[in-house]
Amino acid sequence: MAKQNGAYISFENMSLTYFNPIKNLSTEALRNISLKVYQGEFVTIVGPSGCGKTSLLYCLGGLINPTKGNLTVKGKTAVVFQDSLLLPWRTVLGNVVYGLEIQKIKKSEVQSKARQVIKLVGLSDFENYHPYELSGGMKQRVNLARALCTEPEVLLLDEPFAHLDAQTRELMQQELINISQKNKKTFIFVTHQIDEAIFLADKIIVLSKKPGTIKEIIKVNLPKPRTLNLKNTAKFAKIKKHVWRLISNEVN
Amino acid sequence: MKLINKFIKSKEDLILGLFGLSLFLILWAEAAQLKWIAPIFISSPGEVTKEVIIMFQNRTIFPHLAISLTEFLLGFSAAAFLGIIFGILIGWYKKLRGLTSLLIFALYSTPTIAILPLIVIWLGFDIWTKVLIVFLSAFFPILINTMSGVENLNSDLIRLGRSFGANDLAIFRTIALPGSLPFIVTGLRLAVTRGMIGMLIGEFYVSNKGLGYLITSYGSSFQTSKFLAVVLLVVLIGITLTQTIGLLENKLKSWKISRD
Repeated sequence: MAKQNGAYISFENMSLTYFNPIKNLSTEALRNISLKVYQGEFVTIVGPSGCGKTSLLYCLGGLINPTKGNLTVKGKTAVVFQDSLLLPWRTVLGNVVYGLEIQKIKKSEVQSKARQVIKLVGLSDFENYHPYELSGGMKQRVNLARALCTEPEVLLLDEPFAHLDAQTRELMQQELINISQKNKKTFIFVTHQIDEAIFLADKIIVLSKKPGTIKEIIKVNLPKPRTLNLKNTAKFAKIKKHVWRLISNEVN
Repeated sequence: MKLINKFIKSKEDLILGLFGLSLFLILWAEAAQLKWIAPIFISSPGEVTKEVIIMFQNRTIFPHLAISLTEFLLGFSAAAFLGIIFGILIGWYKKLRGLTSLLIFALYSTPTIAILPLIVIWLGFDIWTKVLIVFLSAFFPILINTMSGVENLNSDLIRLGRSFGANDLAIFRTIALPGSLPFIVTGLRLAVTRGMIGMLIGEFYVSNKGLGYLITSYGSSFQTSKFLAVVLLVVLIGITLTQTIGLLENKLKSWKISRD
């Protein structure tokens, strides 16, 4: 069904090489990435550390340009960074409107839109708090809300729950699932947590170690809507074992 | 009793400070009263206070106060305005920083008084001479603090701005300026003191009006009480200005401390 709309994101033989002019050293981060992502898909990217997951995401967000090959992204993107990266001098509301403010949307419109998103992530009572008054989980909700507020077609998430404790992480995963099912947005989610990758995904991309190439694309045909119970099923365990084997082969 | 103790505990520094100050004033008064030191050298707290009151009662101080404050405020505002703008630009653009670094270092290390004769050649004995001296004294602390504020910005925050498509101007406005504000305010506080010194020095040498002029003219005519009364005014103005900026600094600290 989603495929009728055509690919939203397509990589064609994309490669990325970093060049350090001071050390005169080039490092190949990504090699020959070819991939299509369709509207409404939730794609998670896993791989051993240093495999270029974040680089791939930054390419999608237009923060880095690929060295070779093609990358097209239809529609607006927004990045949810690993560290919440909230502006410490702004309140929750001030942080959430930030993206729209940069994109020069009218002030009155911005405020009401921001309040809706803040409500969506469950922070309505905290809209006038500053980041230093918030817990790690709350900061990440603001981080997410800030990206959602710009109404992107594609959300790029870079290990957004990495620094959260296990409980908060599970709750946030559930919330993200709810948000993705409500809106028809495309999600690209980078993580090193295999559990998380499976639970969220329609499609898991497993990257090899540096330079990152696509090792396997795994379709996750688990039923939706998903709840945390899913993690205890045999089907889930089977996928988990498979992904784990792929990654551990890379590390050893 | 408990409440009083608690009050004393919470204001301990202030109470000790006031005690120290009173001790100093009493010693000073006694020294003058008992003629330990001749009044021409140290006057006395009572005499100085009396002179301050007289200055305000007969309004003789007002024109001097007005001219000094005008010089200071004009020079300081210009220094703040240009110091912040250039500080952000130089802090942001690496090439510009390389280009100007030695020049800024040299000028910052030059005591303004060393180039006073040159300024007089340019501008004569006009009020603008003093405005320029205040400007030169205050400009560099503001410039240098703003620069280091911008250099120390969290580069991830800049990436965040870029991810939403912010151009340089938007990054300056929404990240560089507010992010370096605590540094800027520190620069302003340092600049107040330096600017006041600049103002006084300018008036010492090239003026027939203003607080600095009064200080030299009372000093050279041995009117110690009047001399100290003017000094006291200068001190009060300095305290007021630095405290105002200090309040602003404290307000900004709340998020600065918690910054990652």
